[in-house]
Amino acid sequence: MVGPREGRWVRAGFLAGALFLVGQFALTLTFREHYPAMVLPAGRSKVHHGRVPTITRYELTAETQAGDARTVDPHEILADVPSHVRSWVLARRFGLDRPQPDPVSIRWLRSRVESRVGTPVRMLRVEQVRRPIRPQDSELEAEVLKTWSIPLAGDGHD
Amino acid sequence: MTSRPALSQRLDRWIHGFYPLSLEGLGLYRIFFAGYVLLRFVPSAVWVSKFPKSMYAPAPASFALAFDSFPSVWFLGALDLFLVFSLIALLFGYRTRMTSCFVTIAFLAVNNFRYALGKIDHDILVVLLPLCMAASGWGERYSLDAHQREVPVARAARSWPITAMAALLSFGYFTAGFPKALSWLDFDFDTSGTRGWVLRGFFVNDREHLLLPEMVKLESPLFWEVLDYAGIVFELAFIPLLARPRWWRRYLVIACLFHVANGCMLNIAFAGLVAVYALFFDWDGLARGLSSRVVAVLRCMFTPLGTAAFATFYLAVFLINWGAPGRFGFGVLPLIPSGLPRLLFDIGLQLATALGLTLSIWRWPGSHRTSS
Repeated sequence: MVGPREGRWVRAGFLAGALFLVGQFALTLTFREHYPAMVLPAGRSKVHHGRVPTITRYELTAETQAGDARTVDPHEILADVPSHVRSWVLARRFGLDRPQPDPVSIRWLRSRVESRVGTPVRMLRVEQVRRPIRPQDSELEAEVLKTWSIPLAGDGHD
Repeated sequence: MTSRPALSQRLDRWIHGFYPLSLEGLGLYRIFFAGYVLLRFVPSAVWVSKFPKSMYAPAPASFALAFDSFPSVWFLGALDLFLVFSLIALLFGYRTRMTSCFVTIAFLAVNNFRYALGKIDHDILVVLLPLCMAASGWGERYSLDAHQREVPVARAARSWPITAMAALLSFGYFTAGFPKALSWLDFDFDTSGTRGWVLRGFFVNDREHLLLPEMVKLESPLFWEVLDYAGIVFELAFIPLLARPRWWRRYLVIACLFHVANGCMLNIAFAGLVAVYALFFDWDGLARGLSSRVVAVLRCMFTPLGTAAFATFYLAVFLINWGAPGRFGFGVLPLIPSGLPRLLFDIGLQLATALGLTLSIWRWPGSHRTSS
């Protein structure tokens, strides 16, 4: 057992810690911010039993210097990223959605895409698509939610 | 007429009496914690060094914001080694208070860079535990600190860090359960959150082991609704149970079985949490049951020579794969093929923890002084 002086500090520490954690959590809920899950994921999405379950995915198409469009598997480009992190990188568009993208990053992405496609490329198109999850629903059309292009030629400035 | 103790007295009794362990028990747990983390999985940050500046997105308030890009492989490699050596020092109880703080600092540093790609994993309790337990006296027995001291220091064990870990674990479950409750607790049989996890796991994340393929075929709305509510109740029950320490510990057995069920049905086992759950084993009972021969072996281990031998063995075995493609850390886990073998390994760890907790609670029912 601790002494009375230390006991008071410990009690105060517990109360302050509880106030801090609960307050911080309440604030994130109020402002609809994401609270990092401490133990388990807090995913709140649902599927509807009567409807076709869908998932948001990212699909990449490289435009070669010759003008051809080639499909690129994002998992191959990011093979050295843990599988559960890849969609986060894709959702952030490789961080290249800024007005002045970093030339080194452009070269990095271009070399990865070209090593998959096997020919020089000038553009990478990323589509955020809502697709049916199950293969048996694949005849249903996918819904394109967002499209963006990342120029890969000339360090992204042309 | 007896008056009820004041609120502050009841709070004190709860803080200091939730689950008191002796210095011997704490020492055994320290060895378990550091050994478990070292052998199962120690994260590495080296692999992020190859990514470009544009992908660098540290979390708000992260100390990694002090850098404008991923640091060099040498810097991250030094961080990795700092973490590994801190854990080895913790295992052997070398300057344990300071080392415990170093483990948390090194873990946070490695994680800040690992998570700078945007995704944050759920391992914060394992990271914070050494810092929290630094004050408990878990380095006073079975340690180099004890070995090097000529005259034993009569320090008392502090149990409030154990209560703090129980409260943090409960709060962690609450933060997972509450947002789910706001969305899943809709009394609408047409929707299900758990089924979404099952479908995503099977069709998107290529998980296809044990019961998951059968779960995908299940269409009963009632079944899925019950699973949703059961998950929410399970996650939210930790906080109220904190008032009943003995029941809270029993509930940990259910938590391990919940992870086993999740492992079978969703192919996710979360075995990192075993390091935290094991804090609530009956370490005192184990310490009392140790034969004099085992104690003598432990004393031999906690010498500078024993420490050097283990560190050499560890570095020789686990640094071989340092930074190799697909290797995101040290320990046994990265060496086990991903998929079913790794899943079975983690489920086995959860089952072993459930068994350990069950034995702790029911085999030595009088061995603890918890207030219930």
